[in-house]
Parts: sequence; structure tokens; C-alpha cells
Amino acid sequence: MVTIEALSFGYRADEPIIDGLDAAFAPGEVWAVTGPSGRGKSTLLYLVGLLLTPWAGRIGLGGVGAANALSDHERSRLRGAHIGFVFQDAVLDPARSVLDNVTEPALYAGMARPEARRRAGDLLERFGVRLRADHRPGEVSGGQAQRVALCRALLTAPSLLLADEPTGNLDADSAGIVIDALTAAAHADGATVLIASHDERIVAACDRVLAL
Amino acid sequence: MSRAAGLVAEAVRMARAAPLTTAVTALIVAAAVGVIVSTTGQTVAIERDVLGRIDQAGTRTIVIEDTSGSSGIPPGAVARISGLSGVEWAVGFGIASDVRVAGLDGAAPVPIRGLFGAVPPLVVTSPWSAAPGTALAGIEALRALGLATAAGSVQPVAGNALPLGVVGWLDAAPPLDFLDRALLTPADPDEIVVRIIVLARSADEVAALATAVRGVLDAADPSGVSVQTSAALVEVRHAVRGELGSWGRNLVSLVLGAGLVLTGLNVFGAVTTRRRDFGRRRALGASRADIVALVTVQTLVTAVIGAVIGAVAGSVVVAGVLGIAPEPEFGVAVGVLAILATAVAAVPPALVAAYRDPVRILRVA
Repeated sequence: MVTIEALSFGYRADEPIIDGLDAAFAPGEVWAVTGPSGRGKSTLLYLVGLLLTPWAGRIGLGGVGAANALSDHERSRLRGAHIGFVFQDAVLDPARSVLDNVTEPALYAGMARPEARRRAGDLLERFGVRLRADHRPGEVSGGQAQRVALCRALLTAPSLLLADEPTGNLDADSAGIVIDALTAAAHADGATVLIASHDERIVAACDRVLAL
Repeated sequence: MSRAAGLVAEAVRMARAAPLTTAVTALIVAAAVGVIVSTTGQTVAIERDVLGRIDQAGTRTIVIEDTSGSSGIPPGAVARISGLSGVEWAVGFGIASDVRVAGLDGAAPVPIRGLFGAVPPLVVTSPWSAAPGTALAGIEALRALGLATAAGSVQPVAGNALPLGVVGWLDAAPPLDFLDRALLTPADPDEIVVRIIVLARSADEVAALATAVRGVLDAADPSGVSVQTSAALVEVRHAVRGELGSWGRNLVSLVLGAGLVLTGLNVFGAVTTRRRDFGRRRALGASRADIVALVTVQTLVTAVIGAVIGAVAGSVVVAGVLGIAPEPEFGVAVGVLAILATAVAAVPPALVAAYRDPVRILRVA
């Protein structure tokens, strides 16, 4: 369960983007975070992902009542072990292979390398990019790169999956694969999935909507 | 693999993935170490050579002499001086008297001296138990005596003392090389000491030791005892060491300082162009400390390679120019210093990378 209590945040001191927000996201649910540009959809994801520190309020995560109050080291450990990110751009490391990109979170999550490689192989197979395992990101298409990013986000079987406009740069087929993967992570694996998006296909596929 | 080992492996991978940054950092460190070893290394080699020659001339030697021959320095003085802190060894000698080969009245006389204390390391001898009535002959004394081998009998020229058996040879280095022209025999219990030679552990301790030995001599007439040191040589030694050392230290500071600034700028440039890389790592679970460790270790690994190349190249240059290689310890010390300086240079850019807001980076991706 992910809980938000009286959450406030802004990038400028006198301009709150999120002001006193309360919400609760249960395991196995897929949430669409929607709203006009500048209303804090992505910001909410980064707050819940512990990459931003709120002005006020509490974020309950992974059994921790106020995860936002933890030290950077503890928040990073929590992020590495329990949170997966998918960005609009795949944000892959161009210097390492597709397989090594997928296994990258293992270092920060404390996952053994053989286990990480085995699981990465399974995920690449599941998302149809196993044959690209030894390729560099520059050698795969945009849709394939986003699927690789999805594999990377799922490597540690996170209890919280955060996706920021994950289909923004994809064609319809690739977008469908990503949407299916995100919903499967919630419905099959029990993860909480938050997706910030304008994409109607995504909103339609989600269980619930949080409009900002 | 532990987390720390994983981070080190990841830092090595990062170094390999950024060949230009790695090459420039290695080049800066190699150039700094190479310049230091090939310039200051020459100075160190020359300083070592000059100081060695000065020390050979006796900067560490103290000579205590009974100039009147009747000052009454007791035999126990040698042991007391040997026990002083800072003394490497001390040896005493009695009054020299002449001997010649027994049975040859016309043979050339050679001086013989009684020995107080152990034979010092500067004197190489054939096996000798220092038994009373036996003597060692210096290599020149053997020729003067006309002995083909270090075996024979010598008779005092004056008095009725018993003959002594020459049972071996000795070969002495300065400041004891006067023994090469003499015979050495254990001192008689009632003999007095007229000369004590002391070797200090370092030239810096000579002045203090010269004062200390006066206090433990216990001579019957101290006014007849002279204590001589090579004060002028010690001053020259200090001057050489001070001048050359100061020049070397200044150069090392200057070169390492320049290397530190250049490395810092290079690493800063690298982390600036890799903002997305660090933003991605933060999102995947890297803490700020992890980012600092990754950047610092990456730079350190590169610095080690540069330091090895620079130290080897610098040593080759010195060996080629002077014909003598600087001490390996010098190259290692300079290398370690350069690696530490590089690590220090990497910390500010690493902190910049660690504290940069990952969200701003990821959102503009």
C-alpha cells in the first residue's frame, strides 16, 4: 500500500504544484494520474519515487510510515529494492548492452549477478527483445528500447511501478505492449502501478484515475 | 559480490566506457609523475650521491684524542660511549708502539695498537678470537713487515715484552683506514685509551653526541682531551640537503597542484556531459554516496594507470641522463602522492554529480 497524506510540493517557494494531496494506492491496482500540463502529474510520481522531497506531508511506502523523511541513503535503498521507474524516453546507458542495461538495478538493489542475469533473460524473452540482448541501445528501435526499459524496471519485481508518459514516443503496437506489461505487473504480480499520462488508451486500461 | 566490490567493478566499467576522459586523466597523472620523477628524481639521485660522498668523508665521525698522552681516559669510557643513544659504534685504541718481525733486527718497524671494544663493521678481518698475545696485521703493514701471509711472529722494538703472534689480516675503510698500516692486538687491562672513534647514526646527531661524550669520558685530566667533529662537513651536508630538498619540494607541489587542477577540470567536464547517466543511476537506487564513490573510484583507477606509466617513464629518463636510477621508493612515493591528489581533485565534481537534481535531468531527457 502506498499512502499520501497532506502532500505539498513546488519547485518555487511561493508556487505549490501539489497542495495538501491525500491518496492511497492499493497493491494490484493500476492508477492513471491525469490532468493538464503543469498540474504535477510527473512531480507526484517523482515524489512517490522518493527522488523529490515534499515541502510537507507524508509518503507511506513499503511498510515505512514516512519514507520521505528517511536519509538519502535509506531512500535510495528503498527505491532500488521496491520501486521501478519507466520514463517517456527509455533512458538507457548507451555504453552497455541491452542485457547489462536490464541488470543495472541489481547493483543498487543488492541482487546477486547470476540471479539478475537469469531474470533479465526471462524478461527480455517475455517482451520479445531476447534476440537484442547483446545489442547496444543505439542498435534497437524506440519501441524495443522502451520494452528494455520496462524489463529494467521489472528486474527487482518492485512493489511500486512508476511510469511517466511511457507511451509518449511509441507507435500503437509498442504502446500496447507497454500498457499490457504495466497492467500485468499489477494484476499478475501484485504491484502498485502509477502512470502519468495524457494517453487515452492508458487511461482506459487503468483500474482507477487520479485527476490533478 | 559485495556492494562495495560491485561499485568498484562498476567504476572500472565506467572508466572503460569513457575512453576520452580516462585517457586525459591518465595522461595528466602520467605527465605529472613523469615530470616529477625525471626532474626531482634527478635531484634526489644527485643529492643521494653527494650526501653519500660527504658521509664517506666522515660527517658522522667523532674523534676523541688524548692529545697530551696523559689525560687518563679509562678503558670503560668506550663502553659508556657505545651505550649512548645515537651511537652506531665506538672503538678505542691505546698508545701506538713499534714492532718488527721477530729475529730480523734490521726489519722495518710497524706500529701496533691495543684495541678497546669490538672490531667495528668498517674493518674486515680474517677470523680472529682476539685472544691475548695475538694480533691482526693491516694489509699495508703486512707488506711493511715483509710477511707473505698473515702469519708470523713480531717482537716489540723497545722493552722486553713477549713476542706476539700475527694470526690474521685486516682491511679497514675510512675513518679507520690508518689501521691498514698497523697491527691490532687486544688492549692490556692496565693500558690507557688515547683515541676513541665514534660513528653517529646520523650526521644530525653529531653535535649533540660530541657534547654527550665529554660527559661520560671520565678522564683524569679533561683539559688534555680533544673532541673533534667534521662540523664544516655537517654544515655542507645540511646546506646541500636544504637547498636541493627545498627545490624538489617546491617543484613537486607545483606540478601536483597543476595536475590536481587539470584533473578536477577534466572530471568536472566529464560529469557535466554525463548528467543523464547519473540521473538514471539515482532513479535506479544509487545514493549520493554511491555516485561520489563511483566518480572517485573511476578517477582513482585511471590515476593508478597514469602513475605507473609516469613513474616508469621518469625513471627511464633519469637513468638515461645520469646513468643512475632514482630509488624505486621515490617513484612509488610520487605515484601514491599523485593518486591521492587525483582522488582529492575528483571529489568536488563527484559531489556536483551526486547533488544534481535527478528529476530535472530525467524530465528534460
